[in-house]
Formats: sequence, C-alpha cells, structure tokens
Amino acid sequence: MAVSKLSRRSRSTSETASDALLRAIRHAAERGAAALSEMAGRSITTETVALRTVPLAELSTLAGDPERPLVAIHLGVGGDGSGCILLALSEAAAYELVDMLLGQPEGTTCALEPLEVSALAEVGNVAGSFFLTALADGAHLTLAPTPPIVFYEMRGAILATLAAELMLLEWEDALVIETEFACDDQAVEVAFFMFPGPAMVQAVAEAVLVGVGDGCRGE
Amino acid sequence: MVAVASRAVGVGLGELHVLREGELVAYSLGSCVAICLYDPLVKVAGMAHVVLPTVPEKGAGAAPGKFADTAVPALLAAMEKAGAAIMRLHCRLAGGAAVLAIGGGGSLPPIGERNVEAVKAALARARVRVRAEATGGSQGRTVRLEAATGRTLVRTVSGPEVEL
Repeated sequence: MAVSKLSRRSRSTSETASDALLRAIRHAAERGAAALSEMAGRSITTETVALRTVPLAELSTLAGDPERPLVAIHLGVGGDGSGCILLALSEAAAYELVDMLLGQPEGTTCALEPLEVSALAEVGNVAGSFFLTALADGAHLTLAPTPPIVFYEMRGAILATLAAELMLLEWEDALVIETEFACDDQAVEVAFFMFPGPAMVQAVAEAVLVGVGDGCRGE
Repeated sequence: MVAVASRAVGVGLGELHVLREGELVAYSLGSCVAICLYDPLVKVAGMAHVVLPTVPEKGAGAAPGKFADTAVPALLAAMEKAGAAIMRLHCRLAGGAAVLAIGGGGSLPPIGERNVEAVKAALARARVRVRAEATGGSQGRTVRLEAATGRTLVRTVSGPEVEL
C-alpha cells in the first residue's frame, strides 16, 4: 500500500503506522465476523483484509464488472469519524445468508421481500457495529453506524455514486478497506468495504502510532 | 478525442469521447449523468460522463467532462471539431439517480438531481434541446449510443434494455 496516500493529512505516516493500522482493521474485521458467526450459528471467518488506495475515477470498476448486480448493505459512519461501510453480496450469497439467519432450508429464499431485507439490514448492523466498536476502542474514538440501507443494484452504480460524494469533498482518491469472508471454511461471495474519511484515517493512524510508541500492537 | 472504433468505447467517470463508428457506453451510472449527442447527417456521436454539477474553486484540471458546466462546452467543441453542427444535434440524457437514498434513509445530498439540473442549464445556454431523457429515480443505468444509427439504449439492473 502506498502509505503516503493514506490521506492528504497523513502523508508523513510511516510504514510502521500503516502496518499497525492494518492490524487494527484486521482485528476489527475479526470482531465483525465473530458477531456474524454468533448471529448465523455458523463459523464465519475473515479470509483476507487489505488496504488499498483507489483513484476515485476508478472506484466504479473496483472488484470487477460494474454492471454485475449485487445486494449491498450500506451504513454511514458518525461520531468522531466520517465515511461509510458497504457489505456487498452476490444475489445467491444474499439468499443463502437469509436462509441461514431465518433457520430455513437452503434454497428457500428466492426474492428479497421486506422480511429478507430486514434480515440483511440486521447483518449490516451487527457486522458494522462490531467492526466500528473494535476500531473505535483501539483508537479511543467514538464511531457509530447510521441505520443500514439495503440495495439491489449494479455494483458500479453504487460505487460511482460513492465516488461522486467523495469528489464533492474534493478528494482525488479513497482509502478502501476490503475484507473477504469464509463460512465453514468455504469462501463466500461477501465483500466488506469501508471508505473512511480523512479525519477518521488520521485519528486511527495517530492512535495506533501512539500505541506503537507504547509497545502496543494496535489491538 | 475523436476515435474510429468498431467496438464499444467505455466512457468513464469524468471522461468525454467522440466517435464515428462503433458505440459509446457509460456503465452503471448512479448519480452521474451521461450527455449523449448525435449528429445524424455526419453520423458523429459524443458522450460525456458528468460526475458533479459545477467546477470547484481550484478549477476543472484536466477533466472538463467531470463537471456539468465544463462538460457541455467541451463536448460541443469536440463534436464540432469532428464535423458535427450544433444546430443538428440530437441530445439525450441518462442517469442522475438517487441510488443511495432508497427508502428515504440516506443522508447524502441529492447529487444526481443537481447534476441533471446543471447539465440542462448548460445545454440551454448552448441552445441545445434535450429530446429525451431517462433521469432521476433510484436505479442505476447503463447507456449506449450507437454511432451508425444514433440509437440510445438504456438499461437498469432489473429491467430490459430500452431505446430512449
């Protein structure tokens, strides 16, 4: 990762801070996955956690075909930080997750009616809350998710709209946190993205830098 | 700026393209607006993928297609350079949706609506009439413009492709 692009306000952040930031985020993602495991009654674990700096003009093609439909759960981030979280699932993965959550035989769900949308919103709520709480605790911040919104939309349309929002703030690129999950050791088509605002990146980076100085590992 | 292509040319965020063959495509427009221009006499097609309504204080930089107020004159200039006449242009618009405000739960400002208004104002200043549009709403759209025919095709995530 290009550490110098973490944000316009943190260009002096060292590689050590970047590593510590990634550790803090990985820990937060694991907390989110543990909460989902408890909710679903299955083993859900984080497979990969990565940080990337993406030019906003390329954000709509992040993670593949922009026209591919997906089910997305969007949460804004309030409190001491700003940004948003996006939990993205293929249609099949969303249906499978709903069956799991509602204790139904696999293949029962074949459309997203209000009950299914509500179940998915709760997934976003739980995963987002645990993720943010873990991240906030490590950085001594207050981070709270806004109520989740569930979409069925082209992947690129969601990401391009997010890009436009960030361009409005005169950002040129975005720090993207990507996490992939496995369920019962099988990779699942669920991706967790977080687009932290510069203030949040700065605050977390500063907190983990202090932690590194104190011998803390940011976790 | 003027391309001769036998296949689809993607018009990304903030880009504008003009061509004589093939087609122009703006994939998965959310709040962005695609301005589609076509001169049926010389068969020149042009498209701009507008992201924001107005140029910020620091200027448009190298991407005039990104902002409504600079995209319209830049696209018109490129069309004229390719042999099109402004008075003959057929103009169609697509995009400007409120993708992240479904159910009224979104807290984000309606950039899509502002983009559509800004594009229409800039077109009016240039005396270009909008013949058809698929704008607003809450669904993302992909739009294609065929250079040979001027056909403009729009589709959403859950609908068939329809001619605009």
